[in-house]
Amino acid sequence: MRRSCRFERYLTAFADGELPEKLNRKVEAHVGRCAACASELDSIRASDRILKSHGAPAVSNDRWAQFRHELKLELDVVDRESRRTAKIRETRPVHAPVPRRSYALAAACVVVLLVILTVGPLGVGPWRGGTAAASNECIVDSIESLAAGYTPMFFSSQDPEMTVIWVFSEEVEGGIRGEGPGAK
Amino acid sequence: MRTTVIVCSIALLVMLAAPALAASSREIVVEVTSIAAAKRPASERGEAAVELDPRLGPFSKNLLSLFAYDSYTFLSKDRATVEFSDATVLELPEHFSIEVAPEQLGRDGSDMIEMLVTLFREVPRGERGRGTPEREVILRTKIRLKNGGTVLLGGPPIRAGVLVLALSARG
Repeated sequence: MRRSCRFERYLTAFADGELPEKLNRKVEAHVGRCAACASELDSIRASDRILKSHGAPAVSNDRWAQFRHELKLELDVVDRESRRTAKIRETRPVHAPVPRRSYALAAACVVVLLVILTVGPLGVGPWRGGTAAASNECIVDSIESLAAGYTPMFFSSQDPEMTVIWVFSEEVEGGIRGEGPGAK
Repeated sequence: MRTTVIVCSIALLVMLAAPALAASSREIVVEVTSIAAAKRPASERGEAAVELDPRLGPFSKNLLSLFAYDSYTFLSKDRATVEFSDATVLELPEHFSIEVAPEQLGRDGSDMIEMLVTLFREVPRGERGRGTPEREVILRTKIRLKNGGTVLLGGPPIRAGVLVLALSARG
């Protein structure tokens, strides 16, 4: 099998004088060194001479019309085939790039994770102890005092929501105005 | 590919958040603010009807609406982390201490912290004779407090008036 030369593809255009000037000089210099290309160029030029020595064959108008029709059909088939291939490439990519939304979702997950780990689990914000804004619902299941002189009780208010567990002491009973812990 | 990224992200999130979530279910943070409430003699009262320590801002609305004292002084703020089925003791001013023993969180699906709270007062040796316990139980109560909420405990006399405690807990 003959090893092809990289200049071989330019030989026909070189023979017809269709190459740019710079490339033309390169091919010309190469042909002077490469016996294979020189032989091929001779062959091309010989073919040209033969073709030029014979006139163009006479072809009837009907034959040209048939030829154009067959050519159009061939081109349509090729065109449809290339479109189908392009569609398959679009719908079934082998290595599809990861959509930006996926990166955004992953980033959002990381941010949520950092918030959870930084602020605190299940928290809506850093806890600074009890505040009036928090719900203070409290249910007292049992209450007692084991020390003498103390009487415990509890009461709740709705606005603001708060439960108070109070231990009445005999020592300060007279110190509190009213019936309870400074009851208004 | 996109599905893989999503699944991996969620898995990573769950994997890393799991310890924090587990820790949150095992322990609670308890905070106790100690307040001295008192009634001042008429001669000591200034222009303000009620004297409120600015550090008691979060509780001002509750204190002013629930009680009739005319002086509220901030004494201390103590915080501790305690696991369920364990107990923590916080030392308070004026020889008081409070023990908080959380029992469980979210019984019956509610967001309530169930805990046993005991308020102690140190009794000086010899005050009640030999064999008397050093600490007496002023109050023992079992409560269910809304997670993150506050309950007020008070009444025991102290030098500056009456001791009021704002007990908050969050799990």
